[in-house]
Amino acid sequence: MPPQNNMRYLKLIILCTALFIVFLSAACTQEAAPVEMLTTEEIEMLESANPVIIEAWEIEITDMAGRKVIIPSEIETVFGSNNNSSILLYTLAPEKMAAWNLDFSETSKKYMIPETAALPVLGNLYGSGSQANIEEIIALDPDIVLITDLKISDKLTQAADELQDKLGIPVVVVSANLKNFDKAYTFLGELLSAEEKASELAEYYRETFDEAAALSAEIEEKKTIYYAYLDNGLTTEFAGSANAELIELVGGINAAVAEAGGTSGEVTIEQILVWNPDVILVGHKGAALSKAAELIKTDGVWAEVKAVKEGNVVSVPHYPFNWFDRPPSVNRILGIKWLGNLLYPEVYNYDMYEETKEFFRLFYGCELTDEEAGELLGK
Amino acid sequence: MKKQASCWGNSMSDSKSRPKIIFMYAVLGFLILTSVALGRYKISLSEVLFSLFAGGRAQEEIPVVYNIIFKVRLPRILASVLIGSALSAAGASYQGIFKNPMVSPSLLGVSSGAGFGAAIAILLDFKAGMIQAMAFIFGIAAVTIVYFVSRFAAKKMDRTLTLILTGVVISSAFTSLISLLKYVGDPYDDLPEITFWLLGSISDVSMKDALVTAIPVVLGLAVLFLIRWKINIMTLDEDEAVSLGIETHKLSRVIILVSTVITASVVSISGMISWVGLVIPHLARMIVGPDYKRVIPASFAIGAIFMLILDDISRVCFAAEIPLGILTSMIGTPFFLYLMLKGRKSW
Amino acid sequence: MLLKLEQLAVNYGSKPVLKSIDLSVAQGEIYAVLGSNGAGKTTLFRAIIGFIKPDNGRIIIDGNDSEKMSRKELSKLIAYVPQCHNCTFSYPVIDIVVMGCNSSIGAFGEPSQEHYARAREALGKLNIAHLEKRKFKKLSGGEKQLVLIARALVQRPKLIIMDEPTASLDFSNSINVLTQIVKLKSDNLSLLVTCHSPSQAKAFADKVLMIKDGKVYKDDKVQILSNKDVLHDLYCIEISSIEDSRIRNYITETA
Repeated sequence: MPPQNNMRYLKLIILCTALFIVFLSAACTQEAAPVEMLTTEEIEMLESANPVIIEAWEIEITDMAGRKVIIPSEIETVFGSNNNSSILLYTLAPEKMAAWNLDFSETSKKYMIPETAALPVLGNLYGSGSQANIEEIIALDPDIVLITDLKISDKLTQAADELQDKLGIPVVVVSANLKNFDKAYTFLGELLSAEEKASELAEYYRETFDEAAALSAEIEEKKTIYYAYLDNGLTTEFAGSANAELIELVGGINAAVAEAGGTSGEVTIEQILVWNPDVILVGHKGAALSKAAELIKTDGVWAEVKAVKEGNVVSVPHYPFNWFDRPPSVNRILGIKWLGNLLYPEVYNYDMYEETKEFFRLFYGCELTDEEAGELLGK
Repeated sequence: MKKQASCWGNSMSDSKSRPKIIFMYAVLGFLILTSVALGRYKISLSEVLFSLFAGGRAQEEIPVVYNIIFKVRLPRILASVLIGSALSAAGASYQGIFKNPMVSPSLLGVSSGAGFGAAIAILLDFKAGMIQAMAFIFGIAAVTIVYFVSRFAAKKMDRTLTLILTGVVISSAFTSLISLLKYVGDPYDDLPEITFWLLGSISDVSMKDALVTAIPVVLGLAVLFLIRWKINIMTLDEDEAVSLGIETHKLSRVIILVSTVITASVVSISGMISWVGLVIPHLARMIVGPDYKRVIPASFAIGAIFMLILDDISRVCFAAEIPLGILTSMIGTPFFLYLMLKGRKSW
Repeated sequence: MLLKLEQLAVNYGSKPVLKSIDLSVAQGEIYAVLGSNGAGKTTLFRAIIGFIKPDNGRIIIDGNDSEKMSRKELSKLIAYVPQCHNCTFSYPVIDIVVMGCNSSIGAFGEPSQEHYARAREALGKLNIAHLEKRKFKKLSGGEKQLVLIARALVQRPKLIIMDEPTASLDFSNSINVLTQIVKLKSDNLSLLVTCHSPSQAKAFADKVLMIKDGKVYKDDKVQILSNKDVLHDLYCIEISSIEDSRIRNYITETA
């Protein structure tokens, strides 16, 4: 063949191969579903994990994504693949925790069970941020690995399947968001043989949540809140965002409304003056303390905002885990009571000291003195 | 890697370079074996050999070890080798056809295009496989745009310069778009995920990813290997190359196409890894001379060795991984400065 | 007839550079191409080697229309020696010369031992065999030019086009290169050599092609260069006649 034709022929082959690869990758993303996949409705109606005994030491369960997973019948150690799952686990069965994902401050550790707080920090297996070394997790040898997200999605189940394949350890999917913590607890309680504790926690949550939903419906004059969560105070979560959903739940109005949509973003001080919120909540990014509270209270530019004038700039309590925002796990349950009480103390007439002590005892296994509770509440 | 037993020539470089290249591939083979044994989970050399050669039995008797070797380590080793050789070969080829030792495979925008594709996929919450596919598609799309825009721009003008300029412009455009997407994205979820992807990492590469990438990469490398001597002539001025019988436009099109495909393939699984494509070919030239007959196979080997070492470091030395892109910059930048200070003797 | 140009016209954009060039070069003829700067000499060469497509006219090489020929086929017939060679990488001389063998190497091939031998032979012919392993970048101007001529020889062409081979050379290097060019006559090669000096042209050429305003001004035997009116018309300068036999003597002695 003359050399020119060689070149042309080769180019054609390469082009075709490239196209083929593209289609292959696209096709492969439509992964074959696991053999028995439940429908979304069925998943939502799942009351229990439906354990099926296989061997004396193994059972097959259905996780909250409808995946059938074979796990040991006795579970001793569990690793949570991200902060959401780890906190969930910590509140329910801290003795079974194998390791944490992200580090916390010394102050946070004061409010945690000492042995559990001292567990190694290995990073995330799911979600962004510090990546765990897969081999380290394998060396850790937990009985199961939990993977949690706010809702079930293809992305989540695919990640779970891939993790399970790589680790050689069963991966169990748990769906845990502000509206279904009781379901999550029930499921995990059955899984980890901690049914009693689970039902206690689930009940506490259900009561708190339902109460807030009922009380908020009766509030006529709703207060507006602006939530600032980065150092300059100008970054906020817009109305409707999952991160700031506590505001709407307890009957407040998130002052930050984005015309263009989107869940969060930066705004200008002018815009904040237009919104003129009644209350400003100042959040904390991760474990670091925010300079925003100082800035907002003292800076002349902010002085005209209603919340600043009336002295309603409040830092969100954040030990051991943020009470309001991230991580969006059960640490927020106390936040419901706290925020309700902050905004509408006559409606949510809790004794926050008592509530805090009870929550910490029940969920975090931590006994607080009144003084400590006061410190946490920022008094 | 494919290596033809060729080289009947008697050029000055041959007698010294051929054993050097053979040595490089021996080092690579040895390094691959060693890498299988390295990792935070302690596995003995005997377990490694057992798993590699007695697969079935090993899977039964030492399932955890087998799993780690085949599901965790081998995919990353394969990916590192592919990334290293693909980027180095593409870089070497571009340096040849653009007659400029300072260019890298991302010259025509494939990296920023791929980054943009990945960012979109992350924002739209696509699965991992789809993120890779989008990165690949947009990487190719970016270069296609550059190619056709430069074609309309230049008639009898210097095609090469126009291509380079257009590449810089389109690359910038995509980079700005990435910044826009980062700004629009959720700062807790999307932004860190996009940032992490852009920094470059193969911590979650699966065997399937690696094998799917291997197909276009191996094919592309084979093509570059076969036409490697012709690249020498492309380094001459275009009128000289034409007079020697080279179809310059066709050959540069082929090389651009192949380099783009292999670069897009590896960037789609690894994210943006810079410096490798720029620096490794220089290293290759310093060792085996400027003849592309040698530079291409040397670039394969040295690139693969380099990425493999970096990946081993990343896997073993740190509990939390340092993204590959950062590691390559940390090592690539001082080396590049050294090359510049040393003067142009190396080329 | 080895090379025939029929009404060749080349434009740069809208500006015409070559308007209508007619030329016939027979096998073994040595042509000097003269013209002032910008007259279109380089453009002419680029069109002949197929680098630029002519806007009008035909180029017929060995009886075949050059537009129908592939670059490789063209390179087997015509070799090009550029005025200067930009070296991106520091290749040794032998690698530069062996590039001339490209016309006989397949798309996926590389030079064989035989090709390298051919390259060495060409170097030897030009008395620069000792430069084989030296880096091209480090050579003197004259040596570089000879290497490029060697590369052209390796192509085994029938016609060699040289663009101002002595332009940037000092006197001794010029003499050296011109001597070698004169020696090429014995191989029945045709040469088209641009020259900026009519005196030099008389030293090596049989015929001379003068280009002015994009057209052929004169296409005649080299003796016409002794006519200073012709030179005046071509270059638009006043000159007096100069004695040139001594220069010619220099070349003959060292040949």
